[in-house]
Amino acid sequence: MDMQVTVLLALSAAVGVVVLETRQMKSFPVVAGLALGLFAVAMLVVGATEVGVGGLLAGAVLVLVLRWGVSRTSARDEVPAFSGGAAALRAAVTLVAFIVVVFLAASNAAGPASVESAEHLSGGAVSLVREALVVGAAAAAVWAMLRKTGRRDE
Amino acid sequence: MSALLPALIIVPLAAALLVALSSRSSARVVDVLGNLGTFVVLGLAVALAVPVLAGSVASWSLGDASPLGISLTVDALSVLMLLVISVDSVAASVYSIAYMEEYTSKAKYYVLFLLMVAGMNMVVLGADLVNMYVGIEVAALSCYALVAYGLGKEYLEASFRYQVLGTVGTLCLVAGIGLLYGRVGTVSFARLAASGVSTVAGIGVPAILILSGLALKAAFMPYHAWLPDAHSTAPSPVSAMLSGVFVKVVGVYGLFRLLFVVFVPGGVLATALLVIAALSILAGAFLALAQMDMKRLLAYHTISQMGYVLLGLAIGTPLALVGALFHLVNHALFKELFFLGAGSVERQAGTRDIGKLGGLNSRMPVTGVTSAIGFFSISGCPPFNGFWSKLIIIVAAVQAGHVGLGVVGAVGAILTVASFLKYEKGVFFGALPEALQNVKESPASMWVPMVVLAVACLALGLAFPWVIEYLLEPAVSAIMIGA
Amino acid sequence: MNALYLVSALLIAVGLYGVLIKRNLFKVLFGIVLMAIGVAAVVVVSGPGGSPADAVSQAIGLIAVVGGGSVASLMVVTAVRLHEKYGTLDIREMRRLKG
Repeated sequence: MDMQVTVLLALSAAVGVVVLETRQMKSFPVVAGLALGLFAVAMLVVGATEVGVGGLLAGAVLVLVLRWGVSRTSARDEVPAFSGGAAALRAAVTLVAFIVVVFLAASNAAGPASVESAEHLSGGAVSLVREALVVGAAAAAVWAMLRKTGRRDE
Repeated sequence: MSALLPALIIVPLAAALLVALSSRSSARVVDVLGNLGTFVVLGLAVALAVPVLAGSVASWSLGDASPLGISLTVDALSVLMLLVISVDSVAASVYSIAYMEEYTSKAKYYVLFLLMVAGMNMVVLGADLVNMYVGIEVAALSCYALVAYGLGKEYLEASFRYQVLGTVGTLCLVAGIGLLYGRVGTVSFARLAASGVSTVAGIGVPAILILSGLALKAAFMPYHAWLPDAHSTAPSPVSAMLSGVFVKVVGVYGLFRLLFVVFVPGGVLATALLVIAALSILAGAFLALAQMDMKRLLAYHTISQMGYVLLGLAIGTPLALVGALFHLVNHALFKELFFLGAGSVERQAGTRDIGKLGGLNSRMPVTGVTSAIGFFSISGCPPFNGFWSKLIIIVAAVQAGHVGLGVVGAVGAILTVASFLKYEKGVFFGALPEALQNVKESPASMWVPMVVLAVACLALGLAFPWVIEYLLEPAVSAIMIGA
Repeated sequence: MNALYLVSALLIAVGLYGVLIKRNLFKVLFGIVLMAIGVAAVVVVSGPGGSPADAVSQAIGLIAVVGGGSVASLMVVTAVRLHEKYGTLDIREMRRLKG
């Protein structure tokens, strides 16, 4: 089972790279949704049903939002790929440093904790209230940002 | 009394809903509803504060026990934060009545504002890291939209960058919380405090992640990049809330809760905190000195003043903690005052550039006087509040053997005085430029909150022994439960 | 178990690449999404207990996903409005602020 999950997550990462490198924005939303879908399936396989379902829902919403976004902007990613310069160098160094640190941390990690959870609990529907709060805040933020103009003097 | 706990979250949410439903009504209705929300929250906070500061505690939960349900708990530290949040939000919401007239759709503004208050209340009332985190998310989402409220180029740009950096911070925090749970099996504050968690092997990585996430939210050096842009382009009451409350609630508060639990003074992590604090104090003050934009100067200053709070926190002695909390409260008051004042100047005079302003004392006397009081407070001049909090922190540093840090604190204070002298002279004193001859004072709904804040600065300074004994020491005891 | 950690970290790394190196706003925000699901995977994988995964770890992982998705949606809206103002989605063109 571990093997399946590892493969699924690796696939998700690979699709993620494809999404980031694509120049065709028309397919961007769907392929992005695919990356999220692979992640969600991986979570379902590993037994994290809440996260898996949540991932599927988030993926669906994101695909819709991205389609809207792409339709309001350009259909091709005209932006040049690499610009060079000091900022890019810093970014590349940060990325490499991150990867190194993670590998070091992972090799020291003792794997999943053998610690007994002090919270002997099973799933609760109330946790959905929390998620609803977060989604509600995001919805309000989007609602506010979609208005025509910001200031009266425009 | 435990019913007050969910009320503190439900009331602003309900008020937000009411405002949303009346978005088509007149501006008067929207103003009234929005401000009613903040005033009721203030009332609830005070009602809760009285018994809690005297020693009682309370909790409330919905659904399963923490952390899967919604679990709230209150102690002296939470109540102190609630008071800070509600006083500042009342000041900002009253100020917004006139100030936000120049923006469209006030209703949406109040909705976001109240959501931010609800989120922040949830942060400080959460009984465990997960509930705290949800509050942070709700408040942050509202903030991102509030920063971009003007929908102009700079605001959107600042907001996007803030969204990216802020989310990286929250993801660090989430990762840290998840890994911590994996190591110790609990996320509840009470259980963490009781269990001597800091000795558990492998806790370094989650601790660093949590620290990075919180530091990013609080804009400490070197995670400060988003703050100057966000605070200076946001509408002034939003900047006031950001600098005055938000960075404290979603950033520093978490560190206070985890002090002695995960971050033990004297240990490696605490030393890292000391370094960050010193860097923030000095770099923030230096960078502020170079600014000509009023709000950018204030924003860089927030970084510096938060460094003082962090310094007190990381030293960890009872005296240092009193100083840290006192400075947190004081900064919430005078920074809010300054941002509201800057907003008034910008609205009345049409510019934020210190080079183009001057002599406004003659045209905007109330703003000028309250700003001067803010200057004395932030510069640490007796008998104002800032004097005591900075002094206590510096003394505590020296007492704990960190003489170098005491010097840093003193140097920071000198730099602070220098930049605010520049601010005051450049804006309020000196000659009044031709272009500003017709500037008038801002409307009452804008200067009344500033007067109240200024009076509070003086009052807290004069009554400091009372403040320390009744307000701060109970909070410090609450923090030291994990010691 | 190390493999699971590493592949989750890989997801985060790919996301970080998107955030740091990519210039198109949509790609930057998708990088954030990848980081969010990577973090969720790390959290789920490092919780105590096997399958079904630990309830609290799941709660934390779910919040990471929902939070990340929520901010991403807001970012899309912000990006669209930025595109209206600047005519481009290139983050390097939006340098009006000194930072």
